Amino acid sequence: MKKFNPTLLLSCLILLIVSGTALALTGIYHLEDTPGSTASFETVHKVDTESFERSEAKTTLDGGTYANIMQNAQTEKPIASTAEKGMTIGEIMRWAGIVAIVVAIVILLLIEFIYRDRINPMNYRILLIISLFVLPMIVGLGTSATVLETTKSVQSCGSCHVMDPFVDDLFDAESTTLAARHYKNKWIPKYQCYTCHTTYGAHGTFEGKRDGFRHWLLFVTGTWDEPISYSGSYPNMNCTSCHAGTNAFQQVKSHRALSSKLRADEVSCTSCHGPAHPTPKERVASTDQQEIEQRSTSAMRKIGPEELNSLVEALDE
Amino acid sequence: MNRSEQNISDENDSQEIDKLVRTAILCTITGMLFVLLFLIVGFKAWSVGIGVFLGMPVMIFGMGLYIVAVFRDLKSRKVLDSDNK
Amino acid sequence: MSKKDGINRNKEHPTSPDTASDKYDGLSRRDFMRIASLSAAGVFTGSLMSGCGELWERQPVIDVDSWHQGVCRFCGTGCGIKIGMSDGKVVDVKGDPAAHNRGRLCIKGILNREILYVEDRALYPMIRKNGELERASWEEAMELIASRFSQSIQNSGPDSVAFYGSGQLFTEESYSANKLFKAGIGTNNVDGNPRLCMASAAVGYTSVFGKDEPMGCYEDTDHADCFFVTGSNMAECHPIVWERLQDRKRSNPDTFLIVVDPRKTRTAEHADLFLQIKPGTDVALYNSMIYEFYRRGLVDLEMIEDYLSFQSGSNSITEEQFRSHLEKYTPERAASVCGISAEQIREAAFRFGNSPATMSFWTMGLNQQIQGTAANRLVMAMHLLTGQIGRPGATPFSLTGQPNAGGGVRDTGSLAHALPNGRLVANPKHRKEMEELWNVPEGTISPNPGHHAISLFQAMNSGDVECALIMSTNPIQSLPNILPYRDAMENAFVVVADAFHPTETTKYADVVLPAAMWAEKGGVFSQSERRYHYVPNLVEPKGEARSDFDIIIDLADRLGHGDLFPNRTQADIWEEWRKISAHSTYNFEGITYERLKNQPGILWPCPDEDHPGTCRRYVPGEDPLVKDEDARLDFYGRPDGRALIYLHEQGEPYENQNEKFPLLLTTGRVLEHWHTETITRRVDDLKNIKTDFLEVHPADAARYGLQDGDDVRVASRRGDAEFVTRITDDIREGLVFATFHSAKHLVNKVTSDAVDPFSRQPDYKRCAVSIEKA
Repeated sequence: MKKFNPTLLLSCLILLIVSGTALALTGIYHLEDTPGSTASFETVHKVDTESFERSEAKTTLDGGTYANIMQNAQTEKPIASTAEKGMTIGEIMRWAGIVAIVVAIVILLLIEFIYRDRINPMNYRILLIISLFVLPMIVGLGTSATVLETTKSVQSCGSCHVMDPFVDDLFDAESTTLAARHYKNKWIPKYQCYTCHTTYGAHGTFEGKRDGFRHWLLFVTGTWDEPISYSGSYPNMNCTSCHAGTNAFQQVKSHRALSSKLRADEVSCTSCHGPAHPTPKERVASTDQQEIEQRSTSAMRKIGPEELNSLVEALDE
Repeated sequence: MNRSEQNISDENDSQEIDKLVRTAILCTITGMLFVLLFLIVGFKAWSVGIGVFLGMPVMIFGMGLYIVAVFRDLKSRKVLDSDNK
Repeated sequence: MSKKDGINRNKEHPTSPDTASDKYDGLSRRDFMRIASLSAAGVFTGSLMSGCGELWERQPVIDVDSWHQGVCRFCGTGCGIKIGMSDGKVVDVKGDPAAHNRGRLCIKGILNREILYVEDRALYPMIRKNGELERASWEEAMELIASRFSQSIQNSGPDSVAFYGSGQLFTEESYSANKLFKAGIGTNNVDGNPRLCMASAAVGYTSVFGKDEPMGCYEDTDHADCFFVTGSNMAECHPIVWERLQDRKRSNPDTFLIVVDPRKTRTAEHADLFLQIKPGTDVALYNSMIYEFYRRGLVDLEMIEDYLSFQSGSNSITEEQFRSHLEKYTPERAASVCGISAEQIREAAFRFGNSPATMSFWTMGLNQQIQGTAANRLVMAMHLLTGQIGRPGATPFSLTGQPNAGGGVRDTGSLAHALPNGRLVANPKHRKEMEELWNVPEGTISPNPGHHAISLFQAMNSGDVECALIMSTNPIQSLPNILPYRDAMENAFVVVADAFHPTETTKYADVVLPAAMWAEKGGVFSQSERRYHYVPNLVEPKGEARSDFDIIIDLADRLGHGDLFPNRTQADIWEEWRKISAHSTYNFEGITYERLKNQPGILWPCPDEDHPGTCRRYVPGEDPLVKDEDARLDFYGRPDGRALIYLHEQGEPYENQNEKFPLLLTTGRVLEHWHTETITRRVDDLKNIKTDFLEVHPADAARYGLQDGDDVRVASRRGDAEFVTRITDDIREGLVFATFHSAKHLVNKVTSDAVDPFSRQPDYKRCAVSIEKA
């Protein structure tokens, strides 16, 4: 057996441990959440937090207690869903993934192309296991965790422009869609899109990820159907898991009459209580409105300051 | 097989395995670079596409190649042997 | 070599089941792995493979081959729906997101998917022979009908036959029946169940504005700052309009809701101000509110100066006379009449007059009263005097009860005193116009108004009317004071066309004709906001059923009036009708079948095919028929352009409470059932919704020894009926409430057929009764 040369191996391991610890410490004590992405999200989607002073009329949920509690905190503005303190798990996994990739690539390049002839085979193989198996596993888990976490946020749904009418609707203080009402009254505190657009159990999570993949594929190939509509029958369990336990729900005769149809999803809760999101006609109207605003602001930008002044003077005359 | 032929075939085998490992390394590095792109840039339509839907499979493929190489290596050293005694 | 790194390479491969050291909990490792992976795969696959398509996309629970635009069969909200067909059957119904209801549907709307397939559909014609209804062929039935009608017309004159139609027939059907009887047979005995429902509103609008139908639209709901809901349990009877009102409150929480109703209904529960008046005291309340408008200076002087005139009966009066009349209706005096407080009246008047935009909603609570027309006129007067009219969110909006009372009966003039498009039988100029438009000889249309609903059945009883054709309605349950009218059915030769048998009416018929229902025939419906929209023909009728239109054309042929209908199809009739409308201010010439099939309805006036429809009538810039573009409003329906403010006194009740009948009975509905339940009682999902109850105040229950669930008999001067006691806090002491849905608990045996003197609409909302344990 060749002599066991621990130098390179040891130094790599030490590097890993040190950088990992440093990262963890930095994250816990210093890094705040990425304010940049939240800010740009809010400018793109015109969050008018001033108008969130409104609270809904008292009997919307027939005295739903969560809304009542929230209404007492009327001066609070709603917080964007990812503004948590310190690092989220998703953030940690993301950084772990980045570090693992960098370290793995460095090691691989070193041992395969630079030090290939100089290190002993045992070290080579151990480093191979680490950088070709262990670290990629960490990368894989880290990336998956990142994806699973970030795809829950409203921001991630809103990152594709087809979703603009839906996300803008959430922030529209006057909108009466179910999504807008649940958002502005804080009946769903975070991950608002995800909470309603997933079902329960592992089946639901799988279905959510499959739908996400399908949406991505249709989006990047530009082959989605307009107007966007929900495929299949919406699972009423998403509504009833919060609402069905209340007296208000159980006392409604129509709920009792339709109970078997509601359970089988043959009738949607949104039939009487919807729409959940702006209807296709309303989406077109709001996009038209936005286009007009964008066109006018971009036209404004093209006018130089002297020209602008002269236009203003002409108006005054 | 006599000894020298065995040695030659062993050498050929180990060269094959080395080539396989090198391919695996390159594959994995490529995959990880794509994933790195995604992790740095964040969640966008194109970054998800390249980073996750392209990068992850490539990286995993590279890992798979490596595992195949390990299996072949162990087999050639007669550590993992299904039927032969 | 084999022992080099401590691994025993001589060990047998662990696939051998004999290797004891490799067992896990009694299973060999191989077996364990096999089972574990199979179950994991099984769970995974099972949840994946709920249908192969599930792999890519969720599949709908109900399989639908094609979706079609349509209209709900039920109330006057008139929701647009999508009808899902599979294999020639209706399998699913959803709200249409493109229609005014934004994809919403209430429980009755959802159950449209079931109604064609419930039991007791009338499948074949029946003729009464020897006292029993027996199956017959169409030929036999129609021959019999034609011969009996011809006989009566020949022997006793055209006024011995009559047509009693419905606000649930298609416009083409009502229009054709109207034409057949008035221009063919030559009798004005054409009336229908809208007489029991919307007559007071129709007379109210016509007498105030010159033309019928509300001038606002549902979109006004999105702009109102104050809602005045009176005599309407919107939450249960017009649920989707109610949701829209709630939407307005949600997006603008300062919106103020006033509800006026003798019962604390689900609507009243949401009120910011609830006036729980005694039944039949509306006139006092509104007069008092108008008094308050004047006192607070909330009247719009420009309106009074330029757009209004005052009237009492058929005499013109001055504004001073009107104001001095109001002195009798101070809040204090009105409060004691209405049974509420003066403060509430003052507050209601303040909110109504002072808010930036006030919208009123009302239905049967106002219309089904002995002073229904007066109440209607006064609510309109409230809007006119305060200027709460003709602006987004400011309008007096009468909600229609049935899905086609407006377009089918009111607009086509299928009422005993009316001719199409707002014309009157009694007016010779109007008769001449219609004779020209219908291409019939001058003098064909009789100058005598025919029998309205109540007098029609009275005439059938006395023998003045010998033959009657009843279509798509159930008068022997829905008429008030029903018992004498059952006799009428026995005395006359009555033909009933209905989709169901037995009903209370078909039980007494001489001939029963099976009618097609809803999507089994196509045609135009209308709804409260002057929207005409189209129901497609998607399904084959059941059994031998035929559409009401076919029956009318067949009868016309057999009576020798086939020449009135050279256009045999509904499409052609629609063409004829829309062109005729161009000669009036009910102009909807621009509403063609093509347009109707491509969008969820159009609001008239709509004079040409490019016109998008009119939301607000009489408003320059919105209404294409307006003549004066610079004015604020143009009441072109009135000869002098001025709307009328009527003076009405709060009348005495026609029927007093006394020792024998100390309580008052009022009637109404529940959300889940429709009218006389001929359709909805047969739907499985609705079988557990009870309509057999009598709401009783706890004090009255104690007085009469009633417990919850006891059988109780309600009796009036006319008859009695039994119900199940339901003790509730939602009702005033001295008032009881029952629905008119149930045939077994027939409240109309008790109600009164006293009618409003102007509209001839009966008073279902108030009669004197006694209750006792049965």
